Amino acid sequence: MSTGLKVKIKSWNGVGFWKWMTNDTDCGICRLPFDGCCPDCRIPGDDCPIVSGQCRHQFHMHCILKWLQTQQMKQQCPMCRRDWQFSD
Amino acid sequence: MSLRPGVVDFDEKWKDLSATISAVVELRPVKRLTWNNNISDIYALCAALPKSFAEKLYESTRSLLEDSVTALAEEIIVLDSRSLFCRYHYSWSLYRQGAHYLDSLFSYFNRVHLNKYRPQDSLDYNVPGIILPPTSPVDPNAPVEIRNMSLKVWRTRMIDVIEEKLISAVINEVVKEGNQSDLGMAHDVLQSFIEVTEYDKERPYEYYQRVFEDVFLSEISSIYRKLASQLVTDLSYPQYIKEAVSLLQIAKIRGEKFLHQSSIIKFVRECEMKLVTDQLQYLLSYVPQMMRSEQFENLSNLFILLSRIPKTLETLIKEFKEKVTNDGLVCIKAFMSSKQSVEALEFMTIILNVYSKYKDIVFDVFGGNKSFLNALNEGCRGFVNYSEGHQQHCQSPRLLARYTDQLLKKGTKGITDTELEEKLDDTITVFNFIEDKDTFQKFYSRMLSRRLVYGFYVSMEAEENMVQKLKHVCGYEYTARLQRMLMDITLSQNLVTEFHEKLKSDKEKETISFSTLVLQSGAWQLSQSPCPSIVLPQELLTSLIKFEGFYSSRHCGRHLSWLHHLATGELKLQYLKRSYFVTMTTYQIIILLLFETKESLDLQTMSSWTQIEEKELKPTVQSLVDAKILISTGQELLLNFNYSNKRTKFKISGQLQRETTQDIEQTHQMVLEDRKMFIQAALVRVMKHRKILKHNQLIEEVILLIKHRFYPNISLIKKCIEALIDKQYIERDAESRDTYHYIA
Repeated sequence: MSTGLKVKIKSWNGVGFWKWMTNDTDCGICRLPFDGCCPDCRIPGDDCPIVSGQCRHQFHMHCILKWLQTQQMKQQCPMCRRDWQFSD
Repeated sequence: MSLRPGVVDFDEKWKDLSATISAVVELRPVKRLTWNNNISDIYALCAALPKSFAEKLYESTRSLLEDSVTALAEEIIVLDSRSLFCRYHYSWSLYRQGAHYLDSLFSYFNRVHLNKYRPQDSLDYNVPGIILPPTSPVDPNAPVEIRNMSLKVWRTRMIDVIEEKLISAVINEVVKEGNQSDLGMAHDVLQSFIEVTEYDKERPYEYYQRVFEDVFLSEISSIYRKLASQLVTDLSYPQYIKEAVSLLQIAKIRGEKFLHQSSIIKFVRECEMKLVTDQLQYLLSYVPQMMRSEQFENLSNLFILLSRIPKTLETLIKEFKEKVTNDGLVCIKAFMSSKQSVEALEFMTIILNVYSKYKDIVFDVFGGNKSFLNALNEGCRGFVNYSEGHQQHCQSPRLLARYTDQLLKKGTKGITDTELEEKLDDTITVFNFIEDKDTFQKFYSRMLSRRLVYGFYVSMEAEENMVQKLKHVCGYEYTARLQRMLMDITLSQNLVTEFHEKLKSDKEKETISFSTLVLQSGAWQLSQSPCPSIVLPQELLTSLIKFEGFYSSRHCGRHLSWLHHLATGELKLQYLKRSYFVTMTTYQIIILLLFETKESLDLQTMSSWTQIEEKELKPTVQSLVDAKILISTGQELLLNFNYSNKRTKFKISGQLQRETTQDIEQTHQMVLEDRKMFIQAALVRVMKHRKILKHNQLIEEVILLIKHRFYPNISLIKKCIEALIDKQYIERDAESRDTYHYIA
């Protein structure tokens, strides 16, 4: 049923915000929130992404890479000590 | 004549020679022929056989000069002061010239004969890198160049004899209101003291200082001491400082005319000492009174006097600072109490008026002195940070942010870019005075986010510009969030452009002109959408879903949420006599579009259809009723088909866009929470570094760390210490309770 009301939306200015899709709020390595970036970056965004391992733990990409570099013997997740594998 | 050395009769030659010497030192004319003969005679005497008469010639010349200068001195010493001064000046100017001529007469003697007495190793050349052995001390009685010998004779036979009378004559001449030529003559006389010892390269001024300067300065000291105490009794205070200024000026100008360069500064210092330093207490006693009654001319004179003496400006600076603060406080208090709601613009005007008034005074009265500029800033700080009552928040940070907001918001009438730039600089001036920089930051970012989200900003350039200015004062950290906000806007604009290009290339038609901001959640203080699951109109939803698809293809791993309570749209209303283009909030759009299917609706139906909660729904409907788009019958709502408006394009304001007192309170609350975190972080940082620290020392160090952001009160720091003890970051020492340990 229609009242014959003639109203048309001409334009719309939306406001949205984005967050990383994460299980946790903070990075387990640098302890900074995922909302922000790792300590070495200044601006959150695609330049400082979040990555997860197959163990489902997530970190700032820069943080986990730095961590893995310091590990001589085995590449392990700093949270659960399982072998670190990037999830796809 | 023959150059061959031969036997010479000394007495015969000396007869002619002594006549010439006597004539030369008095600058009487000598015939050219005689002069030339004398030169040959000197050669002949020096080269005489069997033995040179050089030494005899030197001694005879010296005793001749000694006799003639002694006779002159005896003549001069009996004269009265003025004549003595003139006569000495005259005789000296002849003698010094004569000595010069004598030197050329004896040039053979100087060149050849004196070589014997020169130490062999101090030749006139120095080979770089080779250090010559120290020369044996020169015998003070060894013959020297004839000119120097003549000057030495003048010193010992003239100056040393009439010294006392001469010096007092010179002082008489220069202290009294002498004319220019007297000063010039005095200058020449003083120059004679230097010239007569000039050959002594190691201590050229020693004689001058001993004979003249010491006596002169102590004389000046007593003259000016008497003068100062007389002026203090004879003149009023303003007259005294004025007179002192001019006396010092005159002293300097006159000093430059007659004194040797090395004495000018000593002379002026001596005058300053007696006129200013010794009278300091008297000079400073009137400062508070002059400051109170704004006697800037007197203050200017006083400044001129004191700025000559190191470390005497403190009182003046302190009083000036207090004057600025007091003046500012009077204005601010009067303003605050006269108003219900304090206007940012008037508030700024008051601060800037006080500031610019005293800034002018710093330059006009205090010579733009740096310490006074600092005092001005300190003084402004004193009143800008005033808050009514102890518990009240200081209003300034908020009002300053509000003022800036008004400048950067659309609708500021007729303001050019340069004017805007000036006004922004004004805000930075005031910003520098503000202690609670964090409070300003909070309000500023709130207002900035409103401007950006609602598109109220005048231009992005102006916004960037202002943020840069703040960054310049407070550093990167302080403005990082503001910069991220600005960046989000630019990124969003690019994103929307790309989105439209994508649609275009996919040949998809757009029914509505879609645009959006996509903000980074960490940077903005945005309230969450109160009703997350509202039902959007179909056409809007279509665009939204397309955009979400586009967004997730562009950025993986990101979750996008909508803040519909902040979104606005433009509707074309075609059901009325005329068409209208109305800008309204998304909630208002949703409500209005409900009437496409129903002519009347009650609140409950609206709520269940739209999923807008009642507390949001009511004000939204009310705003449409207030705008006369809808008519309320009490239970139901109807469309107003008789709506008319003079303008065809207009805006219905939502309720979200105004700042309420709750908002203000809430913001202050947020500032307080941030402060606690900031203080705790500072405490941990200090403790981590120091491990063990006493309470007072800890407080001091923490204040040092945070005072560039805000000036904390001690009780808040104490609370934070307690909180850290609870969280087991630090612990109290078991024995002395005011000592803390860091727990690693």
